[in-house]
Amino acid sequence: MIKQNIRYIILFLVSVLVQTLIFDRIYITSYFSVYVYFLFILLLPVNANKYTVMALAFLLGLSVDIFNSTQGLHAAATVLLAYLRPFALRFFSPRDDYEPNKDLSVRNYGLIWFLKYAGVLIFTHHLFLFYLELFSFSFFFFTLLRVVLSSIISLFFVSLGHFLFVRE
Amino acid sequence: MRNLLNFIVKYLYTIVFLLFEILCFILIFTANNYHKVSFLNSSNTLTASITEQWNGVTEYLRLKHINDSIVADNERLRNQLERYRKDNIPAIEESGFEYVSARVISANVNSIKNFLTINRGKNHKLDKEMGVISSNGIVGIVYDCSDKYSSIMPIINPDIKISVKLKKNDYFGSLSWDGENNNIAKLDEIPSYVKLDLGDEIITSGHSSIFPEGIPVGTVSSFTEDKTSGFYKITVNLHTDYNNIRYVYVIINNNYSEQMNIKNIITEKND
Repeated sequence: MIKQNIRYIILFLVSVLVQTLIFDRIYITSYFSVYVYFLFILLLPVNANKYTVMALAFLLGLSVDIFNSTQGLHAAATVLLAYLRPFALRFFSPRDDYEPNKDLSVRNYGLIWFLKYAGVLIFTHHLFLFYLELFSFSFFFFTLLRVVLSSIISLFFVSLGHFLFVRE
Repeated sequence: MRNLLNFIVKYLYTIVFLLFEILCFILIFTANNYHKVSFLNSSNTLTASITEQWNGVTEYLRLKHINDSIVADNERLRNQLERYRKDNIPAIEESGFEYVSARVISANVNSIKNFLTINRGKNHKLDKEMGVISSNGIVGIVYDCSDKYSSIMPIINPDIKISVKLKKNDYFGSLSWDGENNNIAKLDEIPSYVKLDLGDEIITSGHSSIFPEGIPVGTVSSFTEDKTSGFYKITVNLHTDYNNIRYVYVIINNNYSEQMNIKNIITEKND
């Protein structure tokens, strides 16, 4: 149990640092930005207390905000992601339901399941984040394009990154 | 009463969610009013020292590039100094501007609300609302300081506007950023009767007392005439390459408080 907690604490720290020290510094074009830090929330156990998950999401988002001087922006989007997580889990539940002690991974539930589960949550997170960031619909289509492209690329990196965390 | 309790219990999850969101929105909106919660940004000592350590690692990979840019900067400054010496122009100190060099320890330039963090702070006489330039041109304005670090709001942030002018004829306008590309800004308020060419130099106007006059900003990359307003819509290619920014200079205006006092007296009289 303690071992499991330490594993998640490390994942939290690594998520924040990888996001802020690596992905936030890569600039290719303004058409997309890559976000991966919510991998921590996505991989929390199925039976984790949903209020704890939300509080952790707030802390996670706030940590990223502090590095980026964007007070509350990422926190707001990540709390939304955490709020929607139980619904997404229920909606995409596999035929023979989740096993509480198994990680929410491609290996346990299949690639298609993971892409659906992570994809929907990442898309909502990005949609909320990018429009909140501008606080206007003045670049509506440009922002929508950013949301779509960023979601695809973030999903790619999140799927890749989760293999580093999930054990045999 | 029981109904209310039932309601709360039933929707507790959503209510907690909304409370969290309200907290986040309070944070977002207090951030814009020259925030009171200043430990929550990147000039915070803990996060800044983490990014600084990390930079120590990554910097080796770019040493050659950094050296080149410093040599180029030196060369330009030497030439400038030589020109002043030839013309016997009195020392520049009289202008009241002082420069402090700083290293950029983190640059978030790939989103909309972009910020830079530098390794100089209040201990080095820095303060909010000071101008920041690089060897290529204007960078941004100091947003907040801790003792050792400061966060900079670059021009490529929609919350900032800078007063600039055309180098060739001194018509001035305001420079802002629309979020599309971090090398391109837009320039408004230049009347359409002014003759404009592609590649015209844009420099700071010196109206704001944050930047001295004549700091390079960029060049005109395209313009269209807006018939209804009588102004140009101009896009400007910025000189500063935010994807590759390492060293900057913070401008301390020693006459700032005096200039502000005069301004306040005038506005008070007008009121």
